[in-house]
Amino acid sequence: MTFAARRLRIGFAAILLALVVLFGHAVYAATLGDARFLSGYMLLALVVFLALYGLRRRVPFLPLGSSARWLQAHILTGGLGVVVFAVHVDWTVPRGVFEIALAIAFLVVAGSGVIGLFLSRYLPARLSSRGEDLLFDRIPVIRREILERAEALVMEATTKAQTSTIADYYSDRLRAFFDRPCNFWSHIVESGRPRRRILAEMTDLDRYLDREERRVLGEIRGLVVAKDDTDYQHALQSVLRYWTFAHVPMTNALLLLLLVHVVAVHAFA
Amino acid sequence: MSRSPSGGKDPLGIDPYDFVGGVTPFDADYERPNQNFRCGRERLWRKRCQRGPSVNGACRGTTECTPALRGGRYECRRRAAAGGPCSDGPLPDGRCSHSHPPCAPRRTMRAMRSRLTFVVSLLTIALIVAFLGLAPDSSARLSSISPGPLTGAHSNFTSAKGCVACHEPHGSGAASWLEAAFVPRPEGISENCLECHKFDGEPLAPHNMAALTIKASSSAMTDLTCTNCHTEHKGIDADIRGLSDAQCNTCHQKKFASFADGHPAFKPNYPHDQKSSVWFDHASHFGKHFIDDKYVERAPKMCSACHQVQNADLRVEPSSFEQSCASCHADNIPARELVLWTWPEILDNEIDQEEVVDLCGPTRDQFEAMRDRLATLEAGDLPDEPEEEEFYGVSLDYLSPFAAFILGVPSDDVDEYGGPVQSLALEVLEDGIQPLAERIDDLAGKPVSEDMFARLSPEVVKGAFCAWAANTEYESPADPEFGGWYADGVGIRYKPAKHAGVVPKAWIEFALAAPQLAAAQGADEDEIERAEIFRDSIIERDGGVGACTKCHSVHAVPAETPEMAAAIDAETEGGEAEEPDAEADAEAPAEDGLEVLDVAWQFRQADVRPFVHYSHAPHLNLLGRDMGCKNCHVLDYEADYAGKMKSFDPLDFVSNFKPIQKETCTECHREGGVRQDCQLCHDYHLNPGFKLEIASHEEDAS
Repeated sequence: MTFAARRLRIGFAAILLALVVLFGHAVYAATLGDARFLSGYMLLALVVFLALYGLRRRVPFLPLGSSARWLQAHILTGGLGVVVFAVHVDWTVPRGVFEIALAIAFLVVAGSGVIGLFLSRYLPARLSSRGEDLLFDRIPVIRREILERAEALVMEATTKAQTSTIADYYSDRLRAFFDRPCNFWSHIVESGRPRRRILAEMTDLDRYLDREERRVLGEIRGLVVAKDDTDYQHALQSVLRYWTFAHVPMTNALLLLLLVHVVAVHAFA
Repeated sequence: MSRSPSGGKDPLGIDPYDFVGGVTPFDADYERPNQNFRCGRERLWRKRCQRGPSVNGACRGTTECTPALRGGRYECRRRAAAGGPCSDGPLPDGRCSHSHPPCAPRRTMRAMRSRLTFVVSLLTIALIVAFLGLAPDSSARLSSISPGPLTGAHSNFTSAKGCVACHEPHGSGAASWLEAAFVPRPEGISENCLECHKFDGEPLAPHNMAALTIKASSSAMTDLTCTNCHTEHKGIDADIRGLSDAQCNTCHQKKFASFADGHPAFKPNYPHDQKSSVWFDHASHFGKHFIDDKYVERAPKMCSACHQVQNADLRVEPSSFEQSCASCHADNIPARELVLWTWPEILDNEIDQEEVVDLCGPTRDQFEAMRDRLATLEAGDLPDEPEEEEFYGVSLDYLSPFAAFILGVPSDDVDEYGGPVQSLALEVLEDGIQPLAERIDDLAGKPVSEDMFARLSPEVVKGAFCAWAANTEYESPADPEFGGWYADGVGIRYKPAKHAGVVPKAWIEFALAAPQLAAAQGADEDEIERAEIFRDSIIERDGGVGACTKCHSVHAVPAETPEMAAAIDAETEGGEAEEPDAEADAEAPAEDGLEVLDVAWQFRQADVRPFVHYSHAPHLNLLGRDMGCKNCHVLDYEADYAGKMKSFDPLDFVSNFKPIQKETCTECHREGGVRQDCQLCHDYHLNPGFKLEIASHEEDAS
């Protein structure tokens, strides 16, 4: 099954389930049942199942189904959870202090999840379209290697040409660029302007160099391109990871608040 | 590991990735992204060490290897990627000869997220603990746990007692909350609701009617509570009384989409299926009297001339008698007198005349006879002994129905009533009207005679009975021009002066109850029949006192049982109804199905549809208050309205208006038109109201 077909199937299933939930809730409410308990326990079950995905990732060795299947179920359940949440709060803004805190926790988790889903669908295509697929944790090593290679080339040019033109330029303009991740937001918005600006400067420098220096500068130009692609990978992969800093901690807070909410609701029923 | 280059090579032909080719992750620096720490040297030197930190975050890069003891010698074990065994070799004590200062390992992104998760969880728990630590009744705790403001009517409930004003109380600790949450409790919120709210009937039965059964399509329906429909904490302006059409359809077997689409047709006589409280024949008035030249000037020109449309709701009450009826019917009232007593034909005078003289003084004839006798004695002669004359009673009338009923004698059998009437006459001469009043009060079981004999002059009573006891007619000193009690000839009468008099009202109410009161006293059939004759003489539509029942409807109502009376008393006093007394039941005058007659003194709407409400007001404004009435209320000149009014059965009734059809309503209340949901016209509860105890609750709270 193709990715598009799978996405279509999941989308259809999510819509169907949401309609079933809405209809069932309306019928239960019409039959004088306390529909708040129905939607509440449904939401609790969905949230617990969603949280189990995090545990599943911690025990990959257990035969609990593929992570991809779990992710599909997580996305489907999350979408359904948003619908059940809306039904549970009666499509309005909660009024109590605790209820508002609980709703905020849910919305942060759900919102970050939706953002994460979007990023996980959008960014990988961009990452594949530019540069090599790098391991995020290895990017500092690669950046260091590029730096060392560039500095070796600068030393070579200085020694052979007996001039400090490239060394000066490197010291003034390129050292900071090679030393740390740069142009984060430019990479996020897919802007190539910083990269073109450096390459243009190097082209301007070309006419002041002799043949050997031009060869070295050409190799440094290649390293600039490699460093910029590495920064691109770093920026996009950072975004792919940072959204979980809202999603995962707030999931725990949500579970704790839910526990109190369930006890309070029954104690005052 | 993939090493494919980027989208294209550099213009100078340099592959920027060739310098990292061929290196696998585990040949290179230490990389364990799934562990908690990474090498700290990367931060210092932009380059990580080969060994990496321990799982606990301790730096392991202080030496380049851990020498191994083999064959009595320590050998360097530095990895090939780090340059292979060093030339210096291990120190004699087995330590690596290349030592470095330790780094400060850094947490991985995964570890930082875990730590953030831990901190957020800790903060959440701290907030929850802080909340539990708040004083149970503190406003901070109440406002924290409350899921939202109460509606306006309930908004002050928590000020005195907090949540327990409605919710079952429980302890304030976490354990108490858990126990309250999961240990079933017998009483719910409904019990507290019913401390103030009351309904006619079972409060938690469907429609407050215990006899109704419901089709249990939901488990919740078999155990109804107030919160099935009314949920609080939705804000001060929330409407928590709403019920959806779907909820109605859930229980009702006849299901339909809307009022216009599927609602059953109205009943054949709707809405005139019970006798009206005021008898007014619209058809004869509009069809005959109001077009008569004698009355046309006084005839109302529009409906609002007689009906108070300014206060229109379910009722559009008629205006007062004085405003609507008096111009034509005021003279009918004094023309219908009440006959309290008629001195009947007496065959044998059993009254001791000397006693009469003692009580009343001599009559003129007696006085003149005594004077003649004295004059004869003064002249020295002996007076002649008075001759025994044959007795001829001064009256040839029958006993009045009231006198026959109260004395328990037939009104037309002179042998039967002669003795009792004359005995009563002596009692009246001695004590005035009191003997009659006591008999009435004893019969009624309560003091009713005060109103019945209001403003009855003792002089009139004594004067009349003195005359009759002396076998003479009573001569009234003046005509009763302004109404009231008077005696004349052989009768005592009451002439009503105006509408809504106290005396006629009291007599009619006593007369209506007379047959049941007699039965309660163990009367035989004859006595009950006499009570009915007395009752009929009073409530006769054409001849009854004040012509009251010519307009005020007399109808049968279920008799009040002892249980009902006890419940009403308990309700009035705010106490518990007592258990019915079996012995009292055995003597109770009322039985199931027994009916008594009642009279409708005030205009009232027939209450045969307790779950239906309707307001005329918006319809009058919409349709116009005069011609608009005729859109729905169409006169039926063929209906036998007058004939049916003679019956006491409130349901044996024909209106002189044609029934209203559902189609009249669906002209506006339909799809795309005006509202047509169930609650627009129907109520769920049976006469909802409030208990008197609400006031005492408020006092407690203060």
